[in-house]
Amino acid sequence: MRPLALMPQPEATPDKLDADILPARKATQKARRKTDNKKSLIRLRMLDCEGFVPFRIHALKQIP
Amino acid sequence: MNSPVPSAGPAFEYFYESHLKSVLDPDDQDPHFHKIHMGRLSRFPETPIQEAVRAARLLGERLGDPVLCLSGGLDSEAMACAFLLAGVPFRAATMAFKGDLNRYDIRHAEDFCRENGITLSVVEIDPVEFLKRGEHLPISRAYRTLSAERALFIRFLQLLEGDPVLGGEILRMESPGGELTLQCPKDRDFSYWRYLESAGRKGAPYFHYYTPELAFSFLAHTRIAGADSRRQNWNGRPGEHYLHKLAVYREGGFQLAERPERQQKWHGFEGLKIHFDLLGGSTEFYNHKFRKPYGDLPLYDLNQFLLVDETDTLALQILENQPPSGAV
Repeated sequence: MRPLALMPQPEATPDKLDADILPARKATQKARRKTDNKKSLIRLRMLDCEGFVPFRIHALKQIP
Repeated sequence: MNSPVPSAGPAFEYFYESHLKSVLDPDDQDPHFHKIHMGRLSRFPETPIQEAVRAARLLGERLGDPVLCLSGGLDSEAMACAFLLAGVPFRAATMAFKGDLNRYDIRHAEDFCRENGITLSVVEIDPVEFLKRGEHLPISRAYRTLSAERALFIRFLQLLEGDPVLGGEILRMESPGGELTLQCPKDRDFSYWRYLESAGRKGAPYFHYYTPELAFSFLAHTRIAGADSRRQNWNGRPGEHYLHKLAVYREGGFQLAERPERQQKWHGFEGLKIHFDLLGGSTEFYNHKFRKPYGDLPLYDLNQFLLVDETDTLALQILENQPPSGAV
């Protein structure tokens, strides 16, 4: 496997890709900053599930 | 990602009596959580094939021109078996990549249709040009696909005439890492639902969730609820996963043929990935070019929950027959 730096340049411009997904990435970072402690937030927020029993759905490390 | 386009067409029940609701919390502009509210079970589920046949009949009553989207995988083939048993007329379609990049996959859909006298529409798409031109990006933004592959499938739906019916996966539990979690559609999987809704099209984004009874039937009646099934980690074991899934469907009453070549399949996009990796000279080229730009997983994607009505004693009985660590 060759390192990425030595590979041919992709035809689609990385700048365009970055520009397209940047707003989404910023929104995610903003959401993350609001959660100092993800676990405690989950427990706290689950109080909003009044009338329901929540079951955790498997979280993937990588998007398929 | 922006919000999906508001509904343009008439209201339609994408799930029976709109029993399933998918919501981002607190809202879709700043989501921390994705919650799927499941409808109440009206009775204890019958066997999976009985529930699937009932779901096919219900869909047959509601859709004018059902088109079953066959991928070549077990889930969509099981769905087609249910429609055949129900005697509901339907058409079938599959997405064929130009250059035979998913030939190894769709050949099973072709075999199934040939064996059962079903006419299969083959919709050809050039996935290489689609991705090179960046056509996946606006689709991903509009419907929160979080992946180029789902955007590609939505393009297929856009080209398809009729009322698309997608198979999807079955509700199950797994605990390969110790923590018991549900395997079910996530927000990104509901991108197909968002597309159908915004386009004002009828259809079914997840056949195996069409009724609450069908969704819970596999956990109620097959080995998928057993401890051995839950302990498995299927990552990197597509062959074993295929055989396990085939056994589950057969236990559920589906008469599915064994197609050994299908053991090599994982998601159907392997050929496309290999094509780009060869072009780029690296096994990470495709990921670098078409996955990395989506950025880190959003917070809501890590915090997804299935919510069951606390008075739905039947559903809780089925779910809580599992070790209690599954509940938060």
